Amino acid sequence: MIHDMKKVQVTRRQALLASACALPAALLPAITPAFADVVFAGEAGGISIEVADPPINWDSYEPNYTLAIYNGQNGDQVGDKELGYGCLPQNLVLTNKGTSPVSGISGTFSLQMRDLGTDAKSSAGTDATRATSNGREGFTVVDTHSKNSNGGGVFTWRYAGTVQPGERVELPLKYYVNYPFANVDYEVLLTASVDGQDDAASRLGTVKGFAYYW
Amino acid sequence: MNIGIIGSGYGGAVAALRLAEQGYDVDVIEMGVDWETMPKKNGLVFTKMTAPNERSMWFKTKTQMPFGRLFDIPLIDKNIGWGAGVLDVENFGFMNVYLGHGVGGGSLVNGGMAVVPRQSYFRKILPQIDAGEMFAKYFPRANDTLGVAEPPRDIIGASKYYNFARVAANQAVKAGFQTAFVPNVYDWDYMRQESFNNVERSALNGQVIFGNDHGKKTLPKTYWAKAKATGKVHLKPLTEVLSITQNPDNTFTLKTKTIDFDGRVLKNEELTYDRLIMAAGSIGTSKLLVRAKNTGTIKNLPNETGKRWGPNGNVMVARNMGTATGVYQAGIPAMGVTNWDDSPNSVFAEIAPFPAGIELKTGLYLAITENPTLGEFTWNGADQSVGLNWTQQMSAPSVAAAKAFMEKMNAANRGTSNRSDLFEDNKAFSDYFSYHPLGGMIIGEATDLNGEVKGVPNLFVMDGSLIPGRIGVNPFVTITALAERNIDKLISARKFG
Repeated sequence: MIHDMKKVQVTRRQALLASACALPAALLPAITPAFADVVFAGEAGGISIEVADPPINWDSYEPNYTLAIYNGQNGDQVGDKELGYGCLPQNLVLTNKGTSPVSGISGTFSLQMRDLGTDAKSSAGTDATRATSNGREGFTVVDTHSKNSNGGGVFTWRYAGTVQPGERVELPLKYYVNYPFANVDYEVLLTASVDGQDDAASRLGTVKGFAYYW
Repeated sequence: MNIGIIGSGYGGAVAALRLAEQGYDVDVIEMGVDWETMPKKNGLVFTKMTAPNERSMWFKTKTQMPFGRLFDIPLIDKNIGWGAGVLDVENFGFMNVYLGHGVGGGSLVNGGMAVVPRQSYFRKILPQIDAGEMFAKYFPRANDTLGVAEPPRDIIGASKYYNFARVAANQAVKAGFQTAFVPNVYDWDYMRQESFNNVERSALNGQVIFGNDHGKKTLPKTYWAKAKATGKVHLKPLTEVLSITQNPDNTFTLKTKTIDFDGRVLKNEELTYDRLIMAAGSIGTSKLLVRAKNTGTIKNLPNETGKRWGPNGNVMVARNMGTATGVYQAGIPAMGVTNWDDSPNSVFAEIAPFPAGIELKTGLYLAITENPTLGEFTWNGADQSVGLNWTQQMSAPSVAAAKAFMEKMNAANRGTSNRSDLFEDNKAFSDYFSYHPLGGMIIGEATDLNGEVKGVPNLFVMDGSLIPGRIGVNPFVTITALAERNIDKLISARKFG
């Protein structure tokens, strides 16, 4: 477990304010009473987090390298059809195991890289695989550009939506590297947690080596 | 009520915990080390397979690995110091049996594969036991207390440490066999962190058969931790029971010898108990009771004492895989291949790692087969020793099943073949050792249906010797579940007062 990640707490007041600011003023009176039934993350332990398994072909027992990796500067996909794809955890998954809707959920995740051949910290030098959100409305990821004690890059995430009791919400991730990038085959460990909770979930993935100089 | 338990493996751990929870004080006599109290040496309590020392094996000057050769050269075994190490091998003529010594017994040295047998096979082997009750109540209880977990798909599917398992599973599928993810007691989240060097490595650093410093939920981390917390359990480590004598009042007096780690005798004692639970494992329990029967120190031991023993059909096989299996291999197995249908051709093959640190393109399998042949323990009056009558011929059904299984695998995967340069006498199928000794005091035969020895009140058996010779999978979950069942029923029957 990783306990030393930087935590970003979204308070009930911040979340209410943010939600209110995003709404047309005319709707506020009708919407506001509904907040009375919503429990905010940090006030209830109903939200659990998982990291989705990377895609594996269980017919051949081989990793599926299907998740494209992007250039962090210009957003272009890197590599070609062989390289520049990873077998990586595609989603953070939130499940509301409580009895009340939960809003304002936030947390952190970290990404570590390790070379396959040498079993050493990635030759990319600075754990250069990064991640951001990938299209889910209300899901945002911020790269803190800091590292945890294991050398993994630390990111904060926030989901602005509401998770109903029993609901499972997938928060898709998009991976990128910053130019220039070169690495032999490597593995990635993604470890995620929800603010205010001690437990963390982790999954690893694997990437074929590629260079991205041009 | 004065209760003694001989042995601290699965059966002893269950008995101690459940009795202590009921308020009984129990003595637990264990011939090996209490490794939880052992100081580290060179930063480790246990040793890596590639760097054994006196902690690795029980009073040996050289390791005796399951296979000691590579490329026909004796490269594997290494000279070691003399001490009360964790792994033992008992040599009975043709059959060598691997055992764990120390508080936790076999849990200290096994691969942690926690497999519940097929219910149909359980019914075939132990028809005298209510399978419905076992599968509804006692197997779940055992799994829960042991901390058993399915291997996670990301580790098995994507980690470099399980490429060996993926290659073997791929070849098995091509041969038309079923593959299975095999539950284990290893902490998989710990393994993820190990793989990124965030925590001290254990299974990913060549630790398994000589013990694991981290990650594995051995009995000292589960049952014994709970039992010790009751304050009712009194461990007597490094203490061997030499003989058991039944007294006229149906109590039992044990002659014991306590040693230090180097083997120096510290004291000889006689300990007397109102109730005695035998949990020294199939070999330990059978040897003590066969001795007691033949020297007459326990009257009325049944004729079934020491009978119906088997090696769980164990056959180890190595294959040239024709492709890389990986320089990095976890010490903990997590997959199996099977064609099991309860027939004599049935094989459940654990895909075992071969963490040699170099690319050998080799797959290793521990095949568990359905071999109906059973042996028995023997008494040699001349030297007052207990033997085992297992012969090469008795392993032949296991070898035949494993051979047919592997030949089908080789035929479906061009460029693959069996290796014969690892085992003794250039055997491709190792028929001369077992990790899974079972039998000797069969439930319902040598004991009643709750494990009390027939004709000997107050003497109970609580280990793998209750199971007749095989169970179709790695047996420790079955041993644990059966012990949970038996102690439950014995406590309910007020056998301990």
